[in-house]
Amino acid sequence: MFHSFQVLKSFLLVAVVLSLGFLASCSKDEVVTPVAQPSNPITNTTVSGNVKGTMLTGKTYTITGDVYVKTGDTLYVQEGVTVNVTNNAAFYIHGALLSCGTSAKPIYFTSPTAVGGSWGGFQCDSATVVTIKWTHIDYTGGPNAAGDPRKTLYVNAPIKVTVEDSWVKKGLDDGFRLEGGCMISLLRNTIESQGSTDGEAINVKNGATGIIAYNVVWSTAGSAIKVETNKTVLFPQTNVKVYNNTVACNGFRRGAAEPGRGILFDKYATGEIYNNMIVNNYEGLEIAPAADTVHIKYGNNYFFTTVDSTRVYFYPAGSFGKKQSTDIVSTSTTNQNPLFTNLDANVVAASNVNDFHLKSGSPALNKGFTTYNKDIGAYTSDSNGNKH
Amino acid sequence: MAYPSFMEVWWGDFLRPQKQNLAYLHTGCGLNFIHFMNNFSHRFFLYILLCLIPFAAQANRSLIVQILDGENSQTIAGASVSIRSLKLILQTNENGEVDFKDVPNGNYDLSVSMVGYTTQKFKITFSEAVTAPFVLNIFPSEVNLSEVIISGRLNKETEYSSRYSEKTADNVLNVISARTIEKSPDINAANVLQRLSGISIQRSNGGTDSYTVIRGMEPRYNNTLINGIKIASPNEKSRFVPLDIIPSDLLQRIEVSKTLRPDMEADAIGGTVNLIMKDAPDTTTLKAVASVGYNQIFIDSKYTQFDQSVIQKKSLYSRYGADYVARPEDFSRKNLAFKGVRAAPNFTGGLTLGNRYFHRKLGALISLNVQNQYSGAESAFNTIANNIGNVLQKVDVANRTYATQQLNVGLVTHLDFVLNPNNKFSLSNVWLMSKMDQARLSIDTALLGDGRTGPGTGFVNVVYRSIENRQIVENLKLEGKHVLQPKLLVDWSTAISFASKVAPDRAELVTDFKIGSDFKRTATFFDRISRIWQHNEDRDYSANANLTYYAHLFGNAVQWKAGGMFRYKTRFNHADQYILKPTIDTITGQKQIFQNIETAQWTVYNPRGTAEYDVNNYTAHEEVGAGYLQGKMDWGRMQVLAGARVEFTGQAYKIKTITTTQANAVNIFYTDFLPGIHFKYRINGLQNLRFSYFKSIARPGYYELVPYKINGSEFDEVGNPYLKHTKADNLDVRYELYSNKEDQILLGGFYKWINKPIEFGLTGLSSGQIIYTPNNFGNAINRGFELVLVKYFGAFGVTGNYTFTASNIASKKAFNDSLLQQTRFILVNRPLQGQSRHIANLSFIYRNSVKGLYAQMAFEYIGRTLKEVSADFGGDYYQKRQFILGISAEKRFGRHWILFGKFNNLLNTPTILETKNGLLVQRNIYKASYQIGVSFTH
Repeated sequence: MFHSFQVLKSFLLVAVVLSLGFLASCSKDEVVTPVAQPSNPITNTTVSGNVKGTMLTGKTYTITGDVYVKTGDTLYVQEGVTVNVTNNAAFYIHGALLSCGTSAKPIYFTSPTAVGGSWGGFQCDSATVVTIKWTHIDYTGGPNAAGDPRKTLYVNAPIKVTVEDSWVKKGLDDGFRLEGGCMISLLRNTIESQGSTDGEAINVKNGATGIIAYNVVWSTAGSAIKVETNKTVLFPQTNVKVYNNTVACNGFRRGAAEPGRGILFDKYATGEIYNNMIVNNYEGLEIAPAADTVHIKYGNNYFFTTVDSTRVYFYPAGSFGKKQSTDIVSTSTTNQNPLFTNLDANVVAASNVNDFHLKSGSPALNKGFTTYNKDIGAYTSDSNGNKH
Repeated sequence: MAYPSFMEVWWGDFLRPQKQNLAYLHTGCGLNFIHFMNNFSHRFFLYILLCLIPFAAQANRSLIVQILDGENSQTIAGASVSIRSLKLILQTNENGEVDFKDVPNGNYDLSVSMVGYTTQKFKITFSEAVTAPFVLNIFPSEVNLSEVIISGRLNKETEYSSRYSEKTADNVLNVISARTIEKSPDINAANVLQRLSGISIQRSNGGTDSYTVIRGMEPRYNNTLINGIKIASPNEKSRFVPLDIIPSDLLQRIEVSKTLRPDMEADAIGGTVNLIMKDAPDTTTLKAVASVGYNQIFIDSKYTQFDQSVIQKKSLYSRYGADYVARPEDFSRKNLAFKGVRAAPNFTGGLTLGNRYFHRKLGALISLNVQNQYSGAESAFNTIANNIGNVLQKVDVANRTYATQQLNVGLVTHLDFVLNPNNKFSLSNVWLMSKMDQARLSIDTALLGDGRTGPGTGFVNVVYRSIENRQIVENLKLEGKHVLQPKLLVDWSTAISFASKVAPDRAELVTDFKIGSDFKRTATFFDRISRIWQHNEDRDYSANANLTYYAHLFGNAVQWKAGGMFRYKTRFNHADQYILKPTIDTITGQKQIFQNIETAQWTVYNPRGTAEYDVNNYTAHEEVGAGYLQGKMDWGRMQVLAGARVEFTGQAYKIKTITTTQANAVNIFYTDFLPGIHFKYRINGLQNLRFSYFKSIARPGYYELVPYKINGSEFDEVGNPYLKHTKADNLDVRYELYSNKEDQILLGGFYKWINKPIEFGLTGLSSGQIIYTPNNFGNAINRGFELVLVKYFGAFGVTGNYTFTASNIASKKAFNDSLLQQTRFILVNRPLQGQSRHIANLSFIYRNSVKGLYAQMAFEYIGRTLKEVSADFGGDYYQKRQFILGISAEKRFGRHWILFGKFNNLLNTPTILETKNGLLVQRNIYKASYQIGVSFTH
């Protein structure tokens, strides 16, 4: 039983509570203050830290610690520059990377120790553009300070990535790891001896699209060219045209449990695979059952091996990819020899005596899918082929 | 003081492992604090032990009185029995008895009082010839009970006290008492909590690391207190406190508050779990308990053991500094060599001593508990993903076996001093240590890609892992209560809370082989080894003060309360990881074939470790300041408690990132205004009706805000400094019926609007630049009801509860749209993570206080639970409903001895995870456990 007087009292108490409500004006949402750091122009030939600007032609630079290029900044490397990277440093690019060598004056990024794994390459996870021309990038693959292995060139952003006429040698992990929807143009590059017991030469994932053509890849620990999307996120689909590459002696060092392939299309990847010269690999061309087998097109590929035990793996059994009528498939060491200028018999260890230019009269000539090229392999008789 | 050398030796032995742990844990300024804590525990313990020694020597000319409830003839524990002429006062024990020593023959006036009963006087005549107890009946009072302010005479360990607290509380409360816990099949706080209404427990795969889910709200929405103080977390990333490390024998009671008053901390949307440790009793207490046990899983199979002695306590970086270049021989091998042995029996033991001195002004208690348990799990785990037609398929399968040894040690020390009726001080310390060793063998087979061409083929990883870690949680609290004037009360507390985890040399060995399309198996290759040293530390310094003033407003009694708290927290996590890669086989030039761990050859890929820039390394600090004002007023049968609280939060994080162009530190500030109003209508002396509204929050986990990045195989996981804290508006209603001292019916409902709940999800699908990150994905609603029933029929009793929870949040799922050729987000409604629609507990009890018999059969039902939220359409993991049976029984022998048994998981209930459509994801089997023991009470 309440008296009206008591009701009045209850209103009064509620009024007190409500007046507290005006305190609600002091309620505030998150104010977040991130703390970032500035960047400095390159003025010296000894470089480290947050930088931007130009490395000038003819000069030799020494990198003494990790180099960072912020979003909005550019690192421009002129022709003829030599960059010696020490202290397991790496380039972290969030802005633009332009390394513009020329046939006459290529650029060198290298380690004075000349040992694989001595620096960290180009980590362009979130760069705005990457252009690399006529540039040597050697001996990368050292772990970062967090223990992660580093690829020679890593891009994980939907940007244009152009790598042309360049050389990659003896990195301990992947050569080119390109994902995150980047638009790639990998033309006429030479990649040798990539990976110790693991690592692919060209590893394309997660919605990357573009062209991989006229590259020469040999002695990779894992696969020379691997293309896949993702187990979970199937679109955007990785969609790459892989044509006129010469892939040789890949996939042995990683061992029989995880053999490398010359070319591998896996997990929902699609694209076109034509005119590739696939020689002396542990496994040749695998188009996995998990790939987008409905849309992949392939043919006019050339299979040859001097290792008799690997001949059965040109198209690995049980996989989706099968021999096409346009393929050239060797049946013995003497059958359908592509007639390279020089082919090293040692397929496992890195070798420098290989020369995959074709001698005249090679069966690869004039057997290509002409949409791409009339010849098979990276060294074609026209001017489009690899220039190394 | 005759035995210091003995005690020094004994205590010294006990303390040594603790000191070692801490020594490799702390550097720099941490040391002072730890020294302080160690010294403190040490002296405190010794002092109390010395005080407690003399009571063992007492004569046995006894006047024994047993108190019964006159209505149901059940014994009453915790009643005060006084003999005024002798100036003696004692409290009845579990058996309803008090034992007055050395009483001369004669006639006495006894007074018996008990909260909730009418105080009654009895005349008795005592002589040495009387050996049987005087049995006295008292009767419940119908008078409304006033709040106990300073030193209640209610024994808080009894079940009756739980009912009493639930009935008289200002907010919605569930309580479970020490007596109930002792008699249940449970041995740790996690097991106990899941018997309470509305609570389920979330566990890691190995069966350890248990956290509470309250009313379907996962651990991030709840907070855990020890003795009313928020405790530091030994988890390296979150705010959670694992409840499996808290031995149940140390508990006086657990209180779960489901509504928050303005004087309570507001970061609990689900609820607040307050673990109240034993405190000084009103009478001399000695209790010892010991038991042994075994798990069925180790009757059926062997226990996988590795050599713990070779584990290097410190990483190379910590031992030799940043410039040290690790060599292959720096890493031990034997902790990666596993063998099957017969598991030793499980053991638990505990000792509690308590007494009061100086005319009962000083109370002291120590309670020590040790548990050494071996447990195991057999698990099959599938990774699933949608194919191009959005049909879920298994993409990876892993069969795992776990073998875990967990040693829990808990020590509670408590002193209180009642200076006079108006001033009371108490000092209490809780120290919990848990050491865990676990071996895991995992056989992972890729089912999609990676060389698989059909069933039974493909690439297989065999992964061996050994883990050792030590967690420590310590909480030291000094508090005081003062009546300044008859109407003005001040209470205050200061506390230091500390937690750490040290996980040295977590070693993982990965080997691989392939089964070809011809089903031929290749040799096993040595793929890699990782070694991680990790330790973290979390410290809170807090202070609390409240002012209570009793006044009148328009003729009605009003209790005004105002106060504030401040807490400063620091924490860090430190990790150092080394990767060992196999050397190339010198003969084949290929990857090395794995023979065994002793002959494996490796190089250290990152010989300087990752300590400088490990992604898991961060430091954080947080300041929370709060103030509140509340008033409580009675109008006849209606009580209204209303007020508001303001909480200010400041947070700052630092991470050493290798990409210094990114933010490597973040400062965050926010303030919340949190009103609340609670109505309690006393229908009569037995029934209450409650209604309340309050606002509450949940702060993001420490590590979630740190801009970390963890590289994954399919996508990277990154932290989110822009994560917002969660806010909720909560409505509660509850009807309560307390038909007598033991029986109750509670029926309550709740409704919560949750603003910006925190969930993990994928972003960046359209660009292919996919990341997995914690985020605020819109709003959620959570509602449901709870029913609690306790009913005794003479010697038989039934206790049970049922909770229905339904929540809804619309979250983004990755949908593979093959027509549009894109993976896009679609919004899908689902429950909150961790929510079970139905949870029920049902226990059947038989008790016979004459024969000293007690038996309980406890069923637990956990309905389908959303366990893991997937980014994939249809890919959420649901835990299948579980039906779990435990049995406990005890028999009293004489006045001091009890023989008991506890038997758990007798139905061998598996934990099965599946997708919504029933695709099996995971199956864990733990099997039953058996335990038999004896306790002695004096």
